Amino acid sequence: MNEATDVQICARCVLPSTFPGIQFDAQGLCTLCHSAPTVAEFERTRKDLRGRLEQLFDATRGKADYDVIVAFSGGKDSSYTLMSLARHYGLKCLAVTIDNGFIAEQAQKNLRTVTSALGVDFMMFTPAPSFMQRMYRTSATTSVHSDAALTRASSMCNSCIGLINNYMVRLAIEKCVPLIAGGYIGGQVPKDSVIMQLDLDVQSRFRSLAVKRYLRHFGPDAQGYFGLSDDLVSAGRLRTLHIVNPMLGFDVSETQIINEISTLGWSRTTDTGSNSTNCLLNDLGIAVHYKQHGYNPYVNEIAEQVRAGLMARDEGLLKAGDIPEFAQVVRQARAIGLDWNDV
Amino acid sequence: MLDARIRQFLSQMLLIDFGDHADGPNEHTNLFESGHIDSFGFVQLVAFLETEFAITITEDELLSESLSSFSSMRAFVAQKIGQ
Repeated sequence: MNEATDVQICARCVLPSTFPGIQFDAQGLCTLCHSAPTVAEFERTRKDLRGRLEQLFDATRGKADYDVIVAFSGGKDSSYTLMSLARHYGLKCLAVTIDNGFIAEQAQKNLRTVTSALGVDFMMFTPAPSFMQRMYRTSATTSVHSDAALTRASSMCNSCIGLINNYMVRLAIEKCVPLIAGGYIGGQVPKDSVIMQLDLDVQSRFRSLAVKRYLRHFGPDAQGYFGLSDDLVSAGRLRTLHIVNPMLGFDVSETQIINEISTLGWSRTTDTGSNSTNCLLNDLGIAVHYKQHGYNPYVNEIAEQVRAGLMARDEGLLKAGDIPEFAQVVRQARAIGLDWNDV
Repeated sequence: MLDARIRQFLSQMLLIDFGDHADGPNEHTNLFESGHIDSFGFVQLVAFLETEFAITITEDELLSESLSSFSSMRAFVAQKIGQ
């Protein structure tokens, strides 16, 4: 257990001294703020990224049944991503949701409402609940992910993201869709990941290494959820595909995002905590991560939004400081068979 | 210089340090098999090496073991830049 005591907070962003690999100078600025661009530089970078995205979209549009598969959770960021790609960029989207068994009721309504309002095709995949519960429980109690990955999201979220990403790649190969879009924002994924070209042979080899770990941790069923077989890759017509995270290029605050998607009929959930707009397990992931590492797993993304001028620091401090007590997440822990003493 | 820059990147960006713990990675550990580098880390690593050392990494090189450990990536970059 790693309880945070006497924690220093960066004077510019919201990173705490418990965050791995950072130090503070005499003025109280953290290492990441020292090397961070100014707000104006952030804006120029985002403009450049939008230009690169537009070029890619222009080169992709109209060449397959779908231009893009959008990994769509029903949360605010993926809803905004879907809205932008369908409406602003005129891409033919296939919205795909992984039902992890813990999508809040309002978020389930949002999935239907948003896709219906945008007139885009929508499909859902529901992995076996027994596997998902084991995956979450194991992620909460054993070391599954790299230290770097844990600075971007909780272990439970990292496992879920890995499963989702792999499903999207498999679906893109099967349906011959050259583009996959995620709704990740700055701090959730590295800056280099706004446009990633994926060579499928390389990806297949990479997955074969990664899946060994997942098999060890989650059991034999992990092969089906995290593996990418050579046979699937060689049978498909695609040799490469692009994965994009357009939110890294958008100049929008959380308030602007919610205002925009509300016009589609999207409504905020009331039972998913202050850092999620779709998942009932999210607060449990935060509580577990805080107990093990002493900082909120969302603090990196919140700090990045503050540095980029997309969130006020006071708002960021409130969000980063919102750590659920175990009593608040005991129901979720029971739902995945998690004993708090094992965390 | 080359050695130090790669070490610095692995430490600062991917939080991989060698020799701190007996059960931690060493310079010859396959960092993909051990889980120290995930798919996002791989993207960061390739972008760093191509930018920092002004090299282009081919598909065949990505499929090889060239980037799997610190020692192999150091040898690979040295060979690419003719050191």
